[in-house]
Amino acid sequence: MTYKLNTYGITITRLVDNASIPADPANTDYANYLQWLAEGNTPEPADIPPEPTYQELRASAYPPAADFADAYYWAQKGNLALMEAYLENCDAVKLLYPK
Amino acid sequence: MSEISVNSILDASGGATTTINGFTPTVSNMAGRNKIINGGMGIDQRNAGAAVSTNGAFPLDRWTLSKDGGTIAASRSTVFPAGFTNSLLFSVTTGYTPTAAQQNNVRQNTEGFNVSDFGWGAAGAQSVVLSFWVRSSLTGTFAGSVNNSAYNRSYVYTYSVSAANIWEYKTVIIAGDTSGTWLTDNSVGLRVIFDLGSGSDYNATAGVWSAGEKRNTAGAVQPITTSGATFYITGVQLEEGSVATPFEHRQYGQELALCQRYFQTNYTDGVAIGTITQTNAIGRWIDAAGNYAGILVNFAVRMRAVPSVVHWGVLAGATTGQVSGDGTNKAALVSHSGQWGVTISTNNVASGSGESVRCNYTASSEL
Repeated sequence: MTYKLNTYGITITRLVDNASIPADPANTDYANYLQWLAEGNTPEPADIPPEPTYQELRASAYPPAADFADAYYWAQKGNLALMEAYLENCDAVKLLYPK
Repeated sequence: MSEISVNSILDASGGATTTINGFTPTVSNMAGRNKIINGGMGIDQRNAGAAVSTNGAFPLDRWTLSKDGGTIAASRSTVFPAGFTNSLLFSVTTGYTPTAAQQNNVRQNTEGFNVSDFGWGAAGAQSVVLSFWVRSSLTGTFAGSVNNSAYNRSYVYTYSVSAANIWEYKTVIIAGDTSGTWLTDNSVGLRVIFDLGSGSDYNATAGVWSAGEKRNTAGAVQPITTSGATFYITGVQLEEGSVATPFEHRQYGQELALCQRYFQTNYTDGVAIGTITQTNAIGRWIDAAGNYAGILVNFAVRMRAVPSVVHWGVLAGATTGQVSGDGTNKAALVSHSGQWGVTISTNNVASGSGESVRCNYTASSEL
């Protein structure tokens, strides 16, 4: 019997059947895992999460869409200040997370 | 036939022990008196009737096969005594003589909450009665035991099978144990064990409480030693008192719900666990494109403990640890878990909008 840690630490995977075992002392599978550890065994390490893509990084950093809506409204009214500020913020994000 | 019509029946001695057919009806021995779950052997969520033969397997819900050596197959059977529809069958493929330290048996580990009223481990411990139907190709004196969680208290019982391949009804009265530690929480309260063949390390005198882990008595019949032997049990009931009452037939939905506290699945009745199928699969729609998707599983009943979960994709080629969506099987994991439900999530796998992710699952918090 071998086990593997999971990326987010919520459960342990029992590799024989890919069962997700919670760290609940009342769970008999977890008790068996603790016994296995006590016998000197070591679980396989968790997979390293993949690096986020530049799209994911940019998506989480762009200014809110509400800012764009507000800037668009005022731009239609002839006031471009908010739109220019919004675009500058977007450019800063693109610079921070290049392709 | 005579008929009696009265307004009340009173104990002649002024007490509360008037008996009917040998037992005294009380609040505690009417509905809910049987501490054994699936004693009628009707619920099989795991195997769709197929036999199991490995140590630790569950041939039926709540019943565990414990096996050291030998080859024995355990399954739900449609051979049964009157009043039942199923039994639990053990078939010995090749006879095997266990060594002193080996044990073979079937057991039910009963949750402490459910047997706390026995009051075991202290003065005033209540007597209980174990009753069951048995049928075997072998005859003679058979054995079994009742044990506590820590296996340091044991009561070995015996019963006689007098005719081969005939159903016989057995009752065993067990005096309450005033010693030892008997858990009354969601851990193992007590273990009810039917011995199928155990070595001399497990021998003890029958009919009394012993220290240590005991299963049988010297000289008892050991079915696992005989090639081709069969052994059936059904109608297993454990109740407080000293007189066995008729088997408590619960409604199917009640019995299933009791079993689901320890094991549940979305698979349809009769479909073997692990089958790759979309029928009855669970899932959710994704209404926006994204890299993550979680399937929330709400359990039918609150489970005994946070369960271990296995999940499968539903498309051809799926394996454990996957869900399916957008025409492919994707790696997934349990991202949140609790006694009421879990979330099974795809992990950093692209998912489009307007598609579904689906899976089948099992959740186990067995004792």
